[in-house]
Amino acid sequence: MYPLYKKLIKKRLKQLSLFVAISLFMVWVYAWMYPQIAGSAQQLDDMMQAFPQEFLKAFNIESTTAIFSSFEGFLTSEYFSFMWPLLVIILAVSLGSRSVAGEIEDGTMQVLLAQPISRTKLYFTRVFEGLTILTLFVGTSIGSIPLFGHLFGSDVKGIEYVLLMVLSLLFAYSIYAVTVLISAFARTRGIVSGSIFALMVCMYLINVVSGSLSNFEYIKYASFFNYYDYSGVLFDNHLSIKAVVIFVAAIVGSITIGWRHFKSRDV
Amino acid sequence: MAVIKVANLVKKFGHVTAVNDISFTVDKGEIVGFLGPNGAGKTTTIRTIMGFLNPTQGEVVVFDDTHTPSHELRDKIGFLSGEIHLYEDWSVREHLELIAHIRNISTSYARELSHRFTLDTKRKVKQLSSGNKQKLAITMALMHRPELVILDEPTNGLDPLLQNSLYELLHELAQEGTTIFMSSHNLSEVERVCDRVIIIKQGKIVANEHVGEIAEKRMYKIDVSFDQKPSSEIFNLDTIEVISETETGFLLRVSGNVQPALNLLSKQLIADIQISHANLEEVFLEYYK
Repeated sequence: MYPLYKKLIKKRLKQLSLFVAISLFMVWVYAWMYPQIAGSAQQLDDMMQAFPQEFLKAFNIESTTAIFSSFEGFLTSEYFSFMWPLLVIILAVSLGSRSVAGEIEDGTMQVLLAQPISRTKLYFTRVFEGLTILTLFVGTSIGSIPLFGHLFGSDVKGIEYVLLMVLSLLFAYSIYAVTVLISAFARTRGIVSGSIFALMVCMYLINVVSGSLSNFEYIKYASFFNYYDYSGVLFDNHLSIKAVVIFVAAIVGSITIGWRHFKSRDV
Repeated sequence: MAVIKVANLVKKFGHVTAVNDISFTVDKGEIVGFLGPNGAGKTTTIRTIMGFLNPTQGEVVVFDDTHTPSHELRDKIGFLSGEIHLYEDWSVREHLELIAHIRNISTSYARELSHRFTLDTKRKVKQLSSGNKQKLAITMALMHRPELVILDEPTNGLDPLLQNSLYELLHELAQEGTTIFMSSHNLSEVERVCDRVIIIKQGKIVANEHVGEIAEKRMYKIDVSFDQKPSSEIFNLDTIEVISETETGFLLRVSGNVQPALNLLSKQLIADIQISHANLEEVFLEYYK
């Protein structure tokens, strides 16, 4: 299935280039901005500490974090709290919705199924296509951070970015896997995209609510955003084993269920 | 050997029964036409044979082989869908190369077919007309020299010259032993190309006969003029229908046995008479009533 895999990757390069360009531009802007505001870091941090703890927790910011005193702190509040997850969700959903439902909607699934390819091979070729594109995106969008940081003279951390890349990949793969799962059941991209975006919004809100209201803290376990603890990785050099297990389970479970259904569904 | 065997096939979509207990076989080397109006169940049947749909009940067996996985059997099958959907941003060549890679074959026959159909392989699919897309799809279906070809309305969008080219190609393939199963609305095409025709109507098979038998057995047209034209009321048999009337005579359609009609006419003073077999279209319309 390598010829099909290669063709599919080539088809996605334009889209990948756009997302990489957007993320690189954002990182460049933040890397350029930070030295400008670093001089006022202490004042800005004191201002952040005035916010309620629950409000900061809702955005995965620990109240003890000195946000503006470090390049990573600045990125945590500006990039990883919203923009980067948004980019990765859009990309993952776009890839996942096309994997099965998109091909069925376009009618090209019949072109492929008319060939001597098993549905299993076809399914996993599409899955690996998406995982490859996401890996390239995560690798460049996060790998570029220390480079741009150095370029503009900021002190940047080291091994933490490797751990962050691992966590971010698992986060991206999880969203993609759930999208592929829904795609394996659906007939149109619209249904898949709508369902996943609704799910992501719910998960995001769950994370905000659980962080803000202590009575609802327990619901955080239902949100991928809870496990995407970029602050913990960047500041404490800590990658939660629980997060890894949850993400891996979501990835394997979603892809497996999607595969089982696609093998026997009407196309 | 039956290359396609459909046994008591039922396919339902929710409460809608698209195919209702149909059975037929297609033997090796036959060219079989599969006719029916829109919504009769032709495409559903074809897609079930190809494995895109699962039967609700019944069985479909291809190449008399129930052990080999269906995707491996598709190595010997060429398929043309009724609605052509291709990758718009890919060129013709890219499509053909992909199929060649998947099937592990050379593209030499594909190039030969492209030349035969005057297909520009450099152009992207989104730049092609519907007829050219159809040509590409036909090439993709035949480029690996399949043993069984399943075509859903193959001449859609093709001009008459290319239709003829396709018919010639299908006859060549049949002479080489390829089995062809094709659905069509074009009845003269079926008359011209097929050995046998299966007619499906509202999910049920209403006829499964050799093309010659249907045309010969079923209907006649009688163009008769009289010295003294009688009233049309004399044609009061169920098997006779007055299609049109002129000053001096009638154009009649006779179903089944023509003898009763001739008996009636022989009692009149006939000036001129022409009897011809109804073409398949008229025979076909009989089944749509």
